[in-house]
Amino acid sequence: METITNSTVNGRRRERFYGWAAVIILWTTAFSMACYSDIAKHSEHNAAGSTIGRLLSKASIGLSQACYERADLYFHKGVPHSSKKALADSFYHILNEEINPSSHAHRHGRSLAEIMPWLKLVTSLDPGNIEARLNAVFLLMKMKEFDVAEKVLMDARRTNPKDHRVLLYLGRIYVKREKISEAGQILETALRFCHDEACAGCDHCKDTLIDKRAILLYLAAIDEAEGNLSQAVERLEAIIEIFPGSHEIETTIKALKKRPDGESSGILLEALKSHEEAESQTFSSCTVPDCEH
Amino acid sequence: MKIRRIITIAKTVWLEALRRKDVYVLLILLGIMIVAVMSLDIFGLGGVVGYVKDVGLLAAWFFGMVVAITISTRQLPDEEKANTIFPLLAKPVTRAELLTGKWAGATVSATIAMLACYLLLAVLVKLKGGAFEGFTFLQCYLLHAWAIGVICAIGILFSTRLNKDAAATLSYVTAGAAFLLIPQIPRIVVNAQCVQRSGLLVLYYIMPHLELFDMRRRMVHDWGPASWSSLLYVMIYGLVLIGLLLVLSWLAYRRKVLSRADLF
Amino acid sequence: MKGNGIEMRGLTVTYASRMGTVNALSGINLTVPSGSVFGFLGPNGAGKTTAMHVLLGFITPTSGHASIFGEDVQGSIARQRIGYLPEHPIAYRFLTGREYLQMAGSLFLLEPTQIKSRAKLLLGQLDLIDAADRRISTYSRGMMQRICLAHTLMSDPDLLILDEPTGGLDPSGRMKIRMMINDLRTRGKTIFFSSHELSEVELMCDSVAILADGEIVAEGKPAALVGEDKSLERYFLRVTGTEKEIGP
Repeated sequence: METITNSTVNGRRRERFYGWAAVIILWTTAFSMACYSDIAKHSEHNAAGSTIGRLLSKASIGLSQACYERADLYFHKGVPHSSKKALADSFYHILNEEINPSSHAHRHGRSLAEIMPWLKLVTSLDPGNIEARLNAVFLLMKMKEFDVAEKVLMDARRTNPKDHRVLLYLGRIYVKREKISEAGQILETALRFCHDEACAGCDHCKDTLIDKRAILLYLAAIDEAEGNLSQAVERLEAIIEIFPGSHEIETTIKALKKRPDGESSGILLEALKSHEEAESQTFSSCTVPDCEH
Repeated sequence: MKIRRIITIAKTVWLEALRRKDVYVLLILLGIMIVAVMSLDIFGLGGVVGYVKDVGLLAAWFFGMVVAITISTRQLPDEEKANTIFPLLAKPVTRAELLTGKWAGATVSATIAMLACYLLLAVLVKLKGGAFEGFTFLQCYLLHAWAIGVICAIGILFSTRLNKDAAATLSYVTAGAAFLLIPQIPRIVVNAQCVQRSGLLVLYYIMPHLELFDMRRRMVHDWGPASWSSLLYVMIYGLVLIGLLLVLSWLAYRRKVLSRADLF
Repeated sequence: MKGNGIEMRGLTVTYASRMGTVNALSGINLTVPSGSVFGFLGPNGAGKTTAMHVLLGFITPTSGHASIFGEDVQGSIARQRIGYLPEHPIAYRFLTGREYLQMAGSLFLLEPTQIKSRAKLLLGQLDLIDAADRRISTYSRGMMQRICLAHTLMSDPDLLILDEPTGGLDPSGRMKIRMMINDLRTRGKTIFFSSHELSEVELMCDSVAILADGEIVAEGKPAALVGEDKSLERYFLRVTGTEKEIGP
């Protein structure tokens, strides 16, 4: 019969310990290798992505889409988009309407900040999603959080240096903060990257043209503020080329042409600022695509 | 039915839940989850708490369902497996009292666990610089407790005739469907054909509607409290549902032949 | 106490199994007088536990009738006067011994002061005072058996149905249970118990019934039954037909 001594017991404990240690080391190695290969495989897609985005690889895109939809839901105060429904007069439906409000509503003012976490998650999970960053910036500007908006745009510029939309927003913020020369420089760069040679039929190209008009309008306003009236007229004429028949632009061109070059009034820039302000006050459209309102 | 017997049975369920510690694990998990969510830097903005409330309440609903189903579905099968059902039913305890006591114990245990979750969430939201609106918070918790009562009754019903695991699985499926799928029927039924439409309508009317007990939208998106009359309607609906499920449980259990577990 | 403690008349329990219909009990007739200690014997699978479960209302008999102190066993009134200790009893392991006894008292709707004093008395009698506030999960097998017996006795029942009360216990544990049963006998309680410890049965019982394959094959006072067989064990083996299985 085996005599069980303290050393036998210790030996068995040691064996058990080594056994478990080997299992843990092997499992950790296998898991790390699997993760590494998966991350490496998808690293091109998420080259500049966050750690969480890299770890989740392809799944992060789906998750970011879910977060984006969540942001939309938050903008509508938790009420999902309505769709055709039956049984509207059923007991359950009527009671549910009482418990869970379903009327169409939007967030306003400071409460817009509640949408931000979801947009932040979208940008973390899918750094290539520039729309989410621009929506965040748009909301931040509405909340008059210009510093934060600038930071977000700087970050977006790092990952998307040639995106004209980022530069346009940055220019608008500089205008808001009276940094006119910085605004001019950044908008010039935006204009360089705003390629409008593609078809004008698709939504993307239409948006690009609208962006180009905005860039030109801001640049014209800056030129006018600096007394560079001929340059301003050129910018506005470029807008007419893109969108012929714009009565307001044509009137402005005529007015500018009547003034001597070098005369600066800043009236155009003020008009743009107050127009944006008014737009911001009456704004009631949704920040994300697919909204019916 | 003697209330004192029901309370005695329920008290045993509370003590078991309290001493088995599985509820604490869920509470710790909830805390970790909310703290992790809170640590998200939202572009440096402060006082943003909607998403913390949202994630916290979602987790509370999920954990509430897990606690309610875990506690309610193990009561009868565990008693039968351990043979403790025999000395219990050898006393002047009717099967209706046993079922009601087990349901009450499971419901109160899960409801108290949820209260801890809600309080933890309220504290964390406060730390983040936000707050819950008092009445809405109370209403939301009240209806959540009612939903837990319904889920526990579903768990008890399935456990009268099934083993613990099967009862838990079916309870998850039923509660999940009642919460997520049944409210979608009005959308689906619009495009459904004749037979399919009838089937969906039957499901819509016979299945429990757990979405009626969910006031998270009001809490998270600051819609304010619901009217007390509609709250009362939902609570009456919940009571009817619980009563119905308990009567069904009693019908399934009253003549059940109890076999000694060690014989099989 | 007047009348019979237990009466079974033509009690039959059949159930369907994969092997066909099984007769667990085949029309058994049995009378247990009040105030007696009655041994219910039989090999494994003879139907002892089934008969006990009928008495407790867990199983509805296919035919026949059973009553306790003249009350039908299906009514909960009968169960007011019963204490039941199952075979290999297990208590709620998460409760303390004292809480387990208090629970039994509450189920019998006893007054709180009565519950407290009765629990104290039983814990003392069964040598569990020191372990009263410990969780039952820390109890030994013998302690578990004793706390379950105390649980059974909380309502001071007139009839005790004990299924293998000394099974799996060491000699000192058995002795404690035997002493308890003797004490209950002197207090006029009716005790109906099954056991495989035939020497113990011989020592304690006023009368016995032997069950084999769902039928009563012998009934009477142990001394009268033993006769030429010299011991109850030999008699038991002979009448149940298990003698052939074990050989000479």
